Amino acid sequence: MSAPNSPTLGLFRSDARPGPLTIPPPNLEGTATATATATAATWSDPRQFVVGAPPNPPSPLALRALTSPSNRRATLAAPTLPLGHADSIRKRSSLPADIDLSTLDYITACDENLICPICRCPLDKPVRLACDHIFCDECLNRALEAQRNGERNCPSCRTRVHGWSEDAGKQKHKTSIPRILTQMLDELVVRCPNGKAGCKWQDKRGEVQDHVDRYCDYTLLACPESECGEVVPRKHRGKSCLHFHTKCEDCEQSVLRLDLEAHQESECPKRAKDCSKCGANIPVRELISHLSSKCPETIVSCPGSPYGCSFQSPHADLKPHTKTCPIAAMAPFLSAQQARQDTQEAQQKLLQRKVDVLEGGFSSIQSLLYTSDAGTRTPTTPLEAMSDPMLRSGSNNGAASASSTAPATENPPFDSSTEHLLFLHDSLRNEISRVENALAVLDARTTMTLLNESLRAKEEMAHTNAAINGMRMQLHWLMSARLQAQREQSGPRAGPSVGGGGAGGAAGASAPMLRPVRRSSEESRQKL
Amino acid sequence: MHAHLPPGITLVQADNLDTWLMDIRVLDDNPIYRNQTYRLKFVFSGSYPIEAPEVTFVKTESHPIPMHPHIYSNGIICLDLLDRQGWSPVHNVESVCMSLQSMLTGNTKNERPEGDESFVRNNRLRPRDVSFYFHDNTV
Ligand SMILES: [Zn+2]
Ligand SMILES: [Zn+2]
Ligand SMILES: [Zn+2]
Ligand SMILES: [Zn+2]
Ligand SMILES: [Zn+2]
Ligand SMILES: [Zn+2]
Ligand SMILES: [Zn+2]
Repeated sequence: MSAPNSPTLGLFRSDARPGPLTIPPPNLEGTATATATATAATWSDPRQFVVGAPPNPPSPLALRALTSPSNRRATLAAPTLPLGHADSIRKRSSLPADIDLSTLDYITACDENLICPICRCPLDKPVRLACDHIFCDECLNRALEAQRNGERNCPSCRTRVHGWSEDAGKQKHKTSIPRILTQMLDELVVRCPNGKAGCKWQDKRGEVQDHVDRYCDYTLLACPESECGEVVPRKHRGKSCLHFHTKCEDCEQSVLRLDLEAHQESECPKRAKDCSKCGANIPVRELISHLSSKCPETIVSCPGSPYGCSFQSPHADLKPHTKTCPIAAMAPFLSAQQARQDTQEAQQKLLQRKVDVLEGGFSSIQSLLYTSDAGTRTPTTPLEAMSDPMLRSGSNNGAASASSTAPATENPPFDSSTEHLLFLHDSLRNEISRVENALAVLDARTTMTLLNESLRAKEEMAHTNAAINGMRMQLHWLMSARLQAQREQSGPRAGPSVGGGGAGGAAGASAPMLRPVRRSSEESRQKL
Repeated sequence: MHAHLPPGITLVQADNLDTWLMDIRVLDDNPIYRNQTYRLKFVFSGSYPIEAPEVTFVKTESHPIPMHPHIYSNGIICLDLLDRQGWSPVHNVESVCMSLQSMLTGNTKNERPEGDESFVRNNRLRPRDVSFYFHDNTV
């Protein structure tokens, strides 16, 4: 096995492998793992937190996102807020709690060094211990809280943590965080947590709180009517409460006033709108599909465009062009051809790979052959070996048989391709017979070695058998001597005790249950 | 997504956040474990990773319980890493799998723990509640 990267030893090695999921090995300081690379993909998958899907294996650790107090705070925060002064928007919009940074959707790849070893998310309010290990404030508090024996140890290296207290105000275990670390964390690019509601904002993590608190159109704020208790996105928040049902003028459906605009804009079955391009009156529900495909004014290109026609026109004018365009007429045929070509290319690639493999095998066989009969022939390159017999038979008719030693360049070029093929055929035949010979020699050799080997083994076995037989006889002799002695000793008493074994077994079974033995990884860690 | 896992460790099932199945193989040529694959079951509590997951070997038709002086024939593992005292929240599924892999690799004794039979017969406790006795740290 490849020892340098063997994962069986890897856990306790200082040069941890790359990959976002490896943990820093315990007991080794400053061994934050090397690269982060793929983390971005992990964290930028919004489903991870939305549906509670298991996070990227093997770290179902983003659980903190679901269980963390700050998240609970955010979701449970009652939207009933005292109505503040009319001018103090900040106060009234204080609904969004502190954003739990671990639930954010990170766009930039996050370096492994910026990831909290406990929650596996980019660090949130990092805390550095005296041993130089860094965790999120919340993660560390939860981990230390869970330690039962009164002693608080670093989760990474188990060094004693001094000065920790459950009361955040009395904590003295933190050492200063390098500014570059906080800067790097603040500069990670994240999406707005209201992205699912429609916000497209994405920027530095350091600014996300400000964006959500002050600018995001989709942040839910308390309704301006204090008795209402509902929430409203910032962009719809006006002077009065919008949380009452009203009837849509067109379809008579009862709709929340807050949702009325959205309803009329895209959902109302009775409402129609003039298309901005063709002017036709289209139901709002179908407007999007109309614009993308049916509208006669939408600019579309000729079906032959992938094959060279550059014609583009509104939907309505395309038909006449398609009728006359030769490329459009060819398009179905061409696309079928294209598909066929693609499959053939794929097949060819497969074949190419096969040929490569076979060629590799062939050349290794060849090199084996040439080394095996190097003793009888002067070493030749495969090319020479091929051309040599060919040239020899090329100068046939006996006249030029002496030219077998002449250099290849002196031979006249072949007259016809048939002749050339014949020579090639001949040379191949020679080659094959050489291979055959070599194989026969090899075969003989291996058979001989096998025979020798098995003969030796047989002999050894015979020896061993004899030895065993000797020992058996000796044992027999000893046993009978002992039995004789016993019989003489216990003479008058009735027979030898046979029940010993059974009694012993029963005693064994009734013996107190042995306590299981536990292995200590600490021990093995020191060993490794 | 499985590409990150180190060799010899594969994720079999992670449909939810409660239970995961992992397969591990011993990579070197240890004759005790040659050509065998073992299945691990991880059960996570709500407070994972602060609390340790419950990790046991599972026996199936193609997955035996590995022979080891710290692995009982019902799949319960005695590894201090996995109990309340030895666990640290910086561990994860991958690191646990690798620890077990290395524990198997380093083993030379083709045997069960002392008292395996009676333990397996009598134990009704969940693995985390078994109070293991740490007297043998040599293996
Ligand atoms: Zn954390
Ligand atoms: Zn530490
Ligand atoms: Zn926003
Ligand atoms: Zn309202
Ligand atoms: Zn309507
Ligand atoms: Zn239109
Ligand atoms: Zn055209």
